[in-house]
Amino acid sequence: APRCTTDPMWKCRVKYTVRPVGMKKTGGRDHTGRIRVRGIGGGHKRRYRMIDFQRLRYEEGAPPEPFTEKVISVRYDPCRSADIALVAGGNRKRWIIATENMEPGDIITNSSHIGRMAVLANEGDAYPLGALPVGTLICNLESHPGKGAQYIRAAGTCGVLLRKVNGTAIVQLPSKRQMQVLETCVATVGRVSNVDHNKRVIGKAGRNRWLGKRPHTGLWHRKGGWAGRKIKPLPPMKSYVNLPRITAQE
Amino acid sequence: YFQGVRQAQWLTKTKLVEGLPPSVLSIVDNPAHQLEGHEERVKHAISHARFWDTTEVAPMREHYCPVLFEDLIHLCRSMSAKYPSLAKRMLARNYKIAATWERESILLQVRGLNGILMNSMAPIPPVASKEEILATEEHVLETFYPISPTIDLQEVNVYKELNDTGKSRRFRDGYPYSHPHTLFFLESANVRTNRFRPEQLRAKMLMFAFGNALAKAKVLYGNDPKVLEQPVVVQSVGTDGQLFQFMVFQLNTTDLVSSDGVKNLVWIDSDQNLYEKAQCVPEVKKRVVTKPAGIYGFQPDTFKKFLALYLHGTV
Repeated sequence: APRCTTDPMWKCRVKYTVRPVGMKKTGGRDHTGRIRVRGIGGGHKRRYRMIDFQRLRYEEGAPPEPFTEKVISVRYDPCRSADIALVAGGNRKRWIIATENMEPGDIITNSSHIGRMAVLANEGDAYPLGALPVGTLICNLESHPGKGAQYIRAAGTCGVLLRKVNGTAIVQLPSKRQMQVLETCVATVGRVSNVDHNKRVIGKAGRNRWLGKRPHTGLWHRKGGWAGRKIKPLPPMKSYVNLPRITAQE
Repeated sequence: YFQGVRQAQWLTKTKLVEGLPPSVLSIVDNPAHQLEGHEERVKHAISHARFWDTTEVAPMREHYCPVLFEDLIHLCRSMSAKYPSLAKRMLARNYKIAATWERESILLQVRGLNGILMNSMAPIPPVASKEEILATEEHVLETFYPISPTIDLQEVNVYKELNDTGKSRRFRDGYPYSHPHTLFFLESANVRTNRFRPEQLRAKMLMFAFGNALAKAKVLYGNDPKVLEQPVVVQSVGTDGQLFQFMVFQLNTTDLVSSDGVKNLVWIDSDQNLYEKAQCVPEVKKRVVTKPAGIYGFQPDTFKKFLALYLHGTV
């Protein structure tokens, strides 16, 4: 049975578990109790499934080598737009974000090894960026090695590996912004699951309320300079690599 | 999600055979072993358990499951008029089993409350012939790569490796009923999520039958791993009040460290319904009784197999 904590910070669970955990909705309110974000509240009750974003998490007592896991099932997650997959390997099971075309019974590999030649990766595998060929579609990208995936997790998104420079790799995010990360950062190959998520039609106001979105204010105001289509150059490339400062020789 | 019986097979180094062994089936078919009017009496037993035993409209599963079991055992025992050696059986409840074994350098244990055990004075003769036992050597245990077979098992710190056939005060050496004969498992939790699914119940039956057989084998033949000359046979019946699972387990070897060599054998007959539906209140649609109260879809074969497993070993 799911366990619900009674204190307001329900996120206190330390040990990882596969069973869904009861969660408390905030309603857009922060720790003072006032509304910080408007338009959030209500909606169907959800249970949180703890997703493991760090693909290369080795089991206790396991050597740090490439390992494989088997996909047991792929299911809908109420807390995000993508689908999640239950994978099992060795002695443990965990939830990960499923990629497109992931079926129960697939075998996926997780590796941290960067070879001289680029690996022809299958969809759903996790490799460091240095081991992937230029031009692969990737998702679940991390900015620093070992941090856990924070980018490209929404349904149907994918980033493109543009080029590899010295010990870094440059990835184009779905917003067309470019990002430079160390090549040892691990990303999964393929597009995130639930590709037709943006094509769905909400259909009625009630469905938005089930999703937990409250209506906007009905007050009419004339739109100012903030509205309308803007055409700007791309922002500069974001670099998460701390290159050594080149100090001038005295 | 995960295949329960397949995992249990790997852990106990067992080969699965569908259906009951021929020696048990011959008892089923033999009309000399039937009770007179047994269908009527079994239906009485089901009605007693499902309808009559309570003041409320319908008894809960944790109530009717043990009542049904008691009635069926009573029916089987009434056969002891014909076969006096049947009287040499006893039932033990709340019985703890402890058995340890090593499987490819992983130490495994079966511990805990067992269900209901029926012991007898004489052991059950081996069911499979020598050729069948030797033929299991070629059978390869299936692997679950990349999942390790010990997934979802509880990891416990072991301080004492126990091997025990329930040697509490009453079961000392010299106790006449020393051979485990049949184990009975009643799945009677009320809420469906707490109850075991049939697959999980079969896996639990297999593990406990193996534990009992192993403990008995270690008592008889010592602690060294070897192939047994006289295989130990333990039977097992699991039910949730309606669905019955029958199992005959034969322990051929206690050498479980390696995955080759002679394997143990298990015959499983799964998902035998004793009756399809027991209607407590008549179903009424638009003021007309469509389905009167009673038992629907009664299958006498299930009770015949139950009786056959009970009689096995003495007949």
